[in-house]
Amino acid sequence: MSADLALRLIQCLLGWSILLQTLEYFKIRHSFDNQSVWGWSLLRKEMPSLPRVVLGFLDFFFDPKRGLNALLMLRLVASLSLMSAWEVGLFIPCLFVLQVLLLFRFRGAFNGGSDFMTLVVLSGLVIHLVLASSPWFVYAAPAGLGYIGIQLLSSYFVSGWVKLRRAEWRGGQAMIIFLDAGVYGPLSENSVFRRPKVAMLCSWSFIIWEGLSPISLLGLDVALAYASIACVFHFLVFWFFGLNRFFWAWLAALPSLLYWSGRIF
Amino acid sequence: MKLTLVFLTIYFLFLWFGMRTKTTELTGRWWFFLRAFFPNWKFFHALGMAPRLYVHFKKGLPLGEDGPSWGEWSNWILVYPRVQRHVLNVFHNPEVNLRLGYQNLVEHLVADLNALPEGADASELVTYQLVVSLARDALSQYCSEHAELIFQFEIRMEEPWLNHPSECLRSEVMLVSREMFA
Repeated sequence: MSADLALRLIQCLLGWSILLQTLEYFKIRHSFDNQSVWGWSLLRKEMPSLPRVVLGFLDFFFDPKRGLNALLMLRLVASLSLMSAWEVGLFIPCLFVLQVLLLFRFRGAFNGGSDFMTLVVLSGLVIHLVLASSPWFVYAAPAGLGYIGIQLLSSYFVSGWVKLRRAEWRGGQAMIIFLDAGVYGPLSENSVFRRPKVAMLCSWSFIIWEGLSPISLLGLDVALAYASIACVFHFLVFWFFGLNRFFWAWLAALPSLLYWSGRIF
Repeated sequence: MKLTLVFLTIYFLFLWFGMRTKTTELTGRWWFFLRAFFPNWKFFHALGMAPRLYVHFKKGLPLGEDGPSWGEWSNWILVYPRVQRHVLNVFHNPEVNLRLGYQNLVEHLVADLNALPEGADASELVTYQLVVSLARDALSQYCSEHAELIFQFEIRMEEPWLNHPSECLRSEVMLVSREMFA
């Protein structure tokens, strides 16, 4: 896959992912009011020490009655621009700053891993953008896509190996426990996943598939197969745990894998 | 590309060894707020006791001659995200993401409690106050304009029984809040 195609795909998928996230923020903005759980008046008490002018700026932009709507609206426009390739040089840094601001608003993360992967993909696009307008422009695409790709592979690799170290995962029990605790759980009494052999088979499939993520770089065919399984895997994570943002955030990073496949071995 | 291969091999070996050795955890406000820049990618690995938020309440009865009186405490109610799934939620799932965020708050409170010095007041913690808001929010369906509510919350560490998720293998109360008006 060419660098241009990979970057364009990433921009489209990331724009879509951020658009969906932003629409969700709009829908639940009642919970950002000062009397609600995510009220800024309480959250600001634990902000790291910042100059007064910066805190004033945050007070304005994080207040749901004042700047938060504008901030989310800007994010919405920026996500659409990313999808339509309109002024991306302006809106990619804009989305990066907005992402960091939202992380501050929600104590470092609103939705955990999906926020992290969104930041990773945005960081890769910023790296590409900065290098493309520098004397090292030939490294722009490899560096940007390399950053996204290595974080993507690391996410699978680490996740697989930490499971392998747990006896409960190797035995399949951990999967049942997590599925029972899921937002759509617990599993029904006669669920097929309660059968020890099925649970163990599924667990080992995930462990091996995740832990061997670097082999996806062997070639485009291998990477396409790996990415296809990744789509199914992330959909299952949504299906059982409700993590729809993970699905789109990881999907946005997958073109980096297709770009790097076959370029290393 | 040989150099890239060498770099990648070293990187993944480094990651692999990193997972096998106990590393120092970085602490501090800035690290916590900017942790998205240094993701550890450890998903679904923590097993064992998991924190759960419980609330109970009692309603105010009409004023008697001796002043306000209160009814009996309700049973403890588990505040935990449980919803019906729909395939279209893959595009739009705001309520679930909100509730998962709430559950993360409970987990952050437990982490803060574990880090609290001996004798320190937990109610000073921002996460404690956020969980108070969460408990209050969970009780909103029981509130009415005519009845006042007093509530209390508990953080319990629970280990579910395999294949019997409604029962606990172990349950320990980690924190009991003071009584508060809803």
